[in-house]
This record gives sequence, structure tokens and C-alpha cells, in this order.
Amino acid sequence: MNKEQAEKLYMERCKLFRDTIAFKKPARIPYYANIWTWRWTDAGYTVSEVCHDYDKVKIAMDLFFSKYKVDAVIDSGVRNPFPLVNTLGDSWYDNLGKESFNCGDKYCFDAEDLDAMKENIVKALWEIGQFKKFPNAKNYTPEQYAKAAKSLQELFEVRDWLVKDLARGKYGCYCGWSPNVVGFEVMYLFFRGIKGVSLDLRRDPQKLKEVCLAIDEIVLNPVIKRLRALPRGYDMEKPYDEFSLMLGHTVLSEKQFGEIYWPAFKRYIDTFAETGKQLFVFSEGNWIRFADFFDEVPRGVVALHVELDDIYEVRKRNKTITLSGGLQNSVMSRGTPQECVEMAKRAIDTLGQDGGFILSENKMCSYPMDAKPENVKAVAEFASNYWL
Amino acid sequence: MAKFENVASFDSAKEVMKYMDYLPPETTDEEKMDYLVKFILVAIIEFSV
Repeated sequence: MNKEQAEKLYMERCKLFRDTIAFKKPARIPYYANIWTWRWTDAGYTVSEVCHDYDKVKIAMDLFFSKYKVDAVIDSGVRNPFPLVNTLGDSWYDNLGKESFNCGDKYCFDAEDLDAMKENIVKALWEIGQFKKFPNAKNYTPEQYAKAAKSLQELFEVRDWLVKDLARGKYGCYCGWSPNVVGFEVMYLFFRGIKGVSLDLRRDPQKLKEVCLAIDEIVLNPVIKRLRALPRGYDMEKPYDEFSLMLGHTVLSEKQFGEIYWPAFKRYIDTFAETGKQLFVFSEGNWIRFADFFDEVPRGVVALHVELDDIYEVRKRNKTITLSGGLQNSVMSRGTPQECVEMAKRAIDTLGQDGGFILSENKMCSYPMDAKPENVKAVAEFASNYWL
Repeated sequence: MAKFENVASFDSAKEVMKYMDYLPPETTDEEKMDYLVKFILVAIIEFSV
């Protein structure tokens, strides 16, 4: 495939996503591979080898795209970028060198830090958050710290090469995720963890809410501002306009969700409806118990990844959100190629005839046993030729 | 420089910015601060933002 052919394919693939998210019948249903570190071990590396070596990231990604004709991949490949992390002297890991590695159950902020976070989240991030993870970096001189921060530029260069030169330029494929999430999600995933936010929710929900709003100021609000400043409508050089995560709902009751999560998330989603753009939401766990909230979302604006719920039941419950999934990892990992193709065909025939569906593995493929290579290959081959 | 021997204080970010000569010369202090916040977030959360 030459560069012009790759670019043509890339634009066709973006259109498949745009059409299906808009509930407009696409030429075919796109296959959005929910495949992550699986690619590294599939390329013959250990996770640790790739985490520490951007050249191996590039080789593994190139090999993946050359073997599997997927339309897009969620992850750009630079997950757990230790060349950056190590510049601050990381110490939270063990078992490096194996297929997986362990990370201590530690987070960057404690309950007593909530006031400081509420007052000035950036200052708290600087003076408390980063040094809880990287205590040695506190003694860096300003010059040493600036040198460490240069590693971000190097990471961006690697990511840009993977996204633009390799995936798009060589294979006509989309990859890359830069999630923009609500404040609670940041607290849940990165700052306080499951245990921390669960305690905060019970001890001082109002303070937690105020911290979440402070995080929204630096994470979500700039994105909303940027989206509003863009011309109305889609950017056809992307399969959707932004990517978000919805993972923290798993520890919330519906009432808590309505109070601490939904107001910010709704404001974010509304921005897409108002500006004629589309949002992809990568959700894990069970989503369906929050379905009532999403009844307010207009048709054709949001695509939602469905992990644990029965995607066919979700479709019955909600008619306005595009659903992503339909490939059960249990079948991808233990079934035959024929069984996997039949599973993909059933999903497309049932859920995708008029758009509103994206084919994807329901769970993240991280480890070798999460999918057989021949099954990924068979599904990709089938999806790329199954015209509606 | 004597004021900031290390980066423990948030105020030292201004001093750090003086050494960020790898960014384009027209980069403003606000943009440099955004870059530093992104750097911390990526270091903490371990994927690109």
C-alpha cells in the first residue's frame, strides 16, 4: 500500500465511524480493536521490554498492523511509558520483565490532601501528588526537573510517529486515545483510587464534589472551550471528535452518580450535541443501571463501549447511543476462527444494519490468553469484507 | 536560583521554565505550565494526555 492508498483507506475508515455513530447506514461496520498490551506479547516481547523501549513499541505496532486488518485500535501503543516515568525515579513496581508486572496499591493523594486539592489543584498536584509517587524528585534542581520534563516531548514524538506516520501513513488505520474525563474519574482512577474515593464518598461527599469541580477546571473545561471554538460539525479526519472514559461509575449508586458524576459528564456530552460533534465513551463494568441518565442524550452524538452488559439488552434499552462491542473475549480466546466470525456476523446483522454499532472486543485484550491471533485475524478479515 | 535549590515548592515552576529551552522560543509561560502539568499527569497516570 502506498501513501496515497493508505490515506484514502484512512478517510474511508473515518467515514465508517462517523456514519455508524450518526445512525446512518455505513458501507460496513468498522472493527475497533480493543487490543492493548496483547500486541506486545504477540510480537514476541515481554511487557517490561516494550514499556522501557520506544523502538520496540514501534516494532510491535508495525507488526500488529501488518498482520491484522483492523479499522482502528483504541491504544496508540505508548501505555506505561517508563522512559518518561523513570526520569522522576519511579519505585511503585515489581516483577518487571514478565508478561505482567505488579504495582503497589498506592495513590497520589490522601484524605487529608483534599483541602489543598480544592484550594489549588495544580499546586497540590505539584507539591503533593507527584512527590508521593516520586519522592526523590522533590530534591531535583529546577534544571534537573526541566531536563526530566523533556521526556514528555520525546513521548509525544513517539506517539505522533505511531499515530500519523505508521498507523495512518502506512496502514490507513486510526489509533490513539487522549481521554478527557470528569473530575470524579480522575479521582477514582489516578488520584485517590477505588478505596480512597469510596471512603471520601461516605466521609465528606461535599468536599469530594468540590475537588472534582476543581479538577474539571483543568481537565474538562479547557476541552469544552476548545470544542466550542472549533467550526461546527465533524472533523472528518478523525473517527470521532473526542474520547472519554466511564469507569468510576462502577463504585457509585445511581443516586451518587446523579450527584457527583452526571452533572459534569452531561455538560461535556451536551457540548458535542450543541457543536454537532461526536464523542466515544470507553466504558467498563455494567452500564445499564445508569441508562436512565442517558435517555437525555440525542441520537447520533455518543458511542459507548459495552463491556459486561449483554449488548443486545443494552440496544433494547437505549436507541440513541451507538454501541461498541459484540465480540466476547471468552470466544476470542477459546473459540475457533469460524465461531468468532459467526459471533461478529450475528452482532453486525442484529445491531448494525442501520448504523449505531461498532465491532469491538468487550474486554481489553492485554495478555496473550485474551485472544488467539488467528481469531483476531479472522474477524478482521471478515469485517473488512462484510458490506452492508 | 538561590531561592530554589530544589523543586519541592510550586513556586519553583517559574524557575524550571527557564531551563525548558527545548520548547519553541515563542512558548509562553502559561503554555510551559500546561506542559509541566501534562508531564506530571502522564508520569502519574502513565499514558498520553
